[in-house]
Amino acid sequence: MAQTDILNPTPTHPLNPDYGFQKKRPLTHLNAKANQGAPYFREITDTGHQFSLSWNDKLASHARKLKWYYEQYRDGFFTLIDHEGGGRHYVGRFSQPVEPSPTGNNRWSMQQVLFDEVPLAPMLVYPNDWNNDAIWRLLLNDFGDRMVAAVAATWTLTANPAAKSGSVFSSASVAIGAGLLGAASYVYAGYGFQFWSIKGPAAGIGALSLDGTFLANVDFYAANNLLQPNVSSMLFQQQNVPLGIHTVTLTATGTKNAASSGYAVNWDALKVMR
Amino acid sequence: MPFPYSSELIQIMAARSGPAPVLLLDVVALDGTSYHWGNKEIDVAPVYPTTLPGTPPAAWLAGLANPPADYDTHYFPWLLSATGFNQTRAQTAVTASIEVQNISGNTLQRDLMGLLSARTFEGALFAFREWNLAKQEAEFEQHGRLTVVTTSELICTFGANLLFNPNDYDGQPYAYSETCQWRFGSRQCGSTAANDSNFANPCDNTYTTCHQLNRFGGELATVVFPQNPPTAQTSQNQVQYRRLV
Repeated sequence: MAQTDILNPTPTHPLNPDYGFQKKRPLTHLNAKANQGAPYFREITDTGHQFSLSWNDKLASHARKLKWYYEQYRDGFFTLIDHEGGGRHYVGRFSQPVEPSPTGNNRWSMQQVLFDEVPLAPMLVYPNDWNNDAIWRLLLNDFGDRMVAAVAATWTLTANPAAKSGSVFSSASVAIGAGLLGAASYVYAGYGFQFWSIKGPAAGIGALSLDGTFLANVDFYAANNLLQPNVSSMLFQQQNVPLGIHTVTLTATGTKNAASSGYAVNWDALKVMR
Repeated sequence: MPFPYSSELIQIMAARSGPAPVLLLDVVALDGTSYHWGNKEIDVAPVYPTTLPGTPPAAWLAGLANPPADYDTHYFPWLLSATGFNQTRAQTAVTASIEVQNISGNTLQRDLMGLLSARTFEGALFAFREWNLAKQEAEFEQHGRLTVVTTSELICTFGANLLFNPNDYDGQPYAYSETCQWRFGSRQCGSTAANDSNFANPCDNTYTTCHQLNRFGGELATVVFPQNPPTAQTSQNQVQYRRLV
């Protein structure tokens, strides 16, 4: 039941919707723009994707099964696989009743049945096409505003052409017990995330958490390499995260690699699954 | 009084993109039970410190399908909207509106309706915050007292009176009375009759025996009871009067 119940498990399953269905993401943000000037944007909800599906010339048994899916899951969710879109899973439910209409002898048609994704629902397979579906959430937005907030202690913004954002946000180099340890947060709407940053010879170890839950320690230490300078790379990936508005927090632990000469941790960018 | 924003919060709030703040509502009913509702489900302690901690009703918690591990760090996603919070220098009584879902629960009694009928929410202390998720700091905070406005099978609407509400206060620092409350011969009374042999007797605090009518410290009331008194829009706040008569 729930996410383990798949409407269309295979590309040839009879309950696959007709080719060319509509998939869209409803408006989840506010936009305001003065007559002259840059627009302002605020993400307000975690509403997911919405599908408008149709089935034509299906047997009565198929129509009954689709009606059953509506009845069974109108207060829950099931899995729909977008086989056309590479096999990505979506968990959600039909938000309107399925109303078959006859088109011939034992032939039924269901038109424009809405399927809404349900936020915070667990998934059988979380979205994982990082090259095509994920987007960059950089330290600085395109207007140059810093989007990562220093939650504890003082952080420093430093230009760095090797960073995805063109800058890195660094905590102070403080050993555990020697002062306030830095913490910084970023909030995004989506599924899982990748944490990208730059390592260095004087960097320490940071703890990554998602919505307050510890995920992993990340070692930011790397020796200087004159032939191949350190560039931003993926240091951690958390793929299995349900759709929602999530807070990623990087906390300096005040510990370091034995070879490192400092304790600072760096934030460059997130890649967020959408 | 301006909000004491940190410079970091100001910078994050001013960004041209980002998430909207989440709404958090803490309530303490008059029996001391506490409730935490937000427009986002929250289950982590250090990020969202509860403003008004307390103990929820044990019987109500026992009826939850998935009770939280720590009640005071858990915000149920019940808060649908909170509007009308105004701040003004004028002594205007402003009532904000808070809508909370009343759908969950059984068919005979919703979760919130059960709480409303078993507890006293009229006058319950609340703390409302707009919480910046990234900076983990309040962008707006308002404390006050709730009043139950309407309850339907979908939504319960609370009125939110600010803590500073002039309607709640008796502006007269003295007791209302038809008799004067000044001590005879005091500075407020102003009578020097005690030194005057023609008026050596102190008054009996009534208007008719007053020596300083322009300073008479009582209410001159003419009471008329109409046959069909009209219904007036009067304050429902209870004020404890003391009569001296």
